[in-house]
Amino acid sequence: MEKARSRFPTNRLGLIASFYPWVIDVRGNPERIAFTLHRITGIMLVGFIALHIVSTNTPARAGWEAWVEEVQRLSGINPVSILFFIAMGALIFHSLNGIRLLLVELLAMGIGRPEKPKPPYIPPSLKGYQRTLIYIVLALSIIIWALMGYVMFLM
Amino acid sequence: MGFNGLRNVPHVRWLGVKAGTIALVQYVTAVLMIFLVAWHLAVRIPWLQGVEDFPATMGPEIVYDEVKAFWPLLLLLSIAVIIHGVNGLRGILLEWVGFNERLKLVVNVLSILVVIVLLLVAVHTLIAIPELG
Repeated sequence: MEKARSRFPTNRLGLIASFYPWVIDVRGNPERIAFTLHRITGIMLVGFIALHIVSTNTPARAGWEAWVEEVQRLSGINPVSILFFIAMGALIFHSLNGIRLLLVELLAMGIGRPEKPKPPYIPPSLKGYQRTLIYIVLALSIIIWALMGYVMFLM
Repeated sequence: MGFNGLRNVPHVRWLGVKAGTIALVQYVTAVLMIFLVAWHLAVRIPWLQGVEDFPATMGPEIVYDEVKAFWPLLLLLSIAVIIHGVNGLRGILLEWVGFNERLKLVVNVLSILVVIVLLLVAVHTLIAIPELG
């Protein structure tokens, strides 16, 4: 017997949306881009944090000589320092976007006030400054990441 | 069923902890991390440490002094980062597994195990740091 299907399509794209977020239209939807970047950088950072915690355990595990060797891997441009730099980029974006989310979600800033819908209806969230915050986050992330690159590689 | 009806749905509670409480933990750890991560990055700025380059900010003397002087902050940072990170990944994985109760249990148990293991490593880093020779 054929399994009964719901007449409503599923809105849970789950795995597909997580790995291939562009299944959801992002045109004119910077919130979605910020969400996707927040998720991708979050996953990257969990891996980085696990490695960072194990790596900083080196002095306790193997002594200071091993630690000095490990730190030397971060000098100059090499695969380890480049991966570290990418992780720092993820950290900067995730942190700044996280602050934006705290302002918007926790403190309800920049999303306007509820109002009676009258045509032509423009959602209050689009009249607030929450979208401007996304662009500020993206611009600040690039600036701070560039400064971090200067400190890491050019100083 | 309105929003308050969620209180009676079993899958929004796990080990007696409400989903809302876990979300609050995520926010609290995020706020803590704004300050702690900023401090953690700031101490790696060479001219603040008076050294010539970035790797030199992680020299044994600097790291040893930092751990001895600021171990409570480093411990708090480790706790906040590990909980925030693992809980965030747990949320993503729970979205993926959908309503499969067995997989949800696996994700939740694995998350707790990862938190415990990483916390033990972090605590070991702080308490077993060797004296400078």
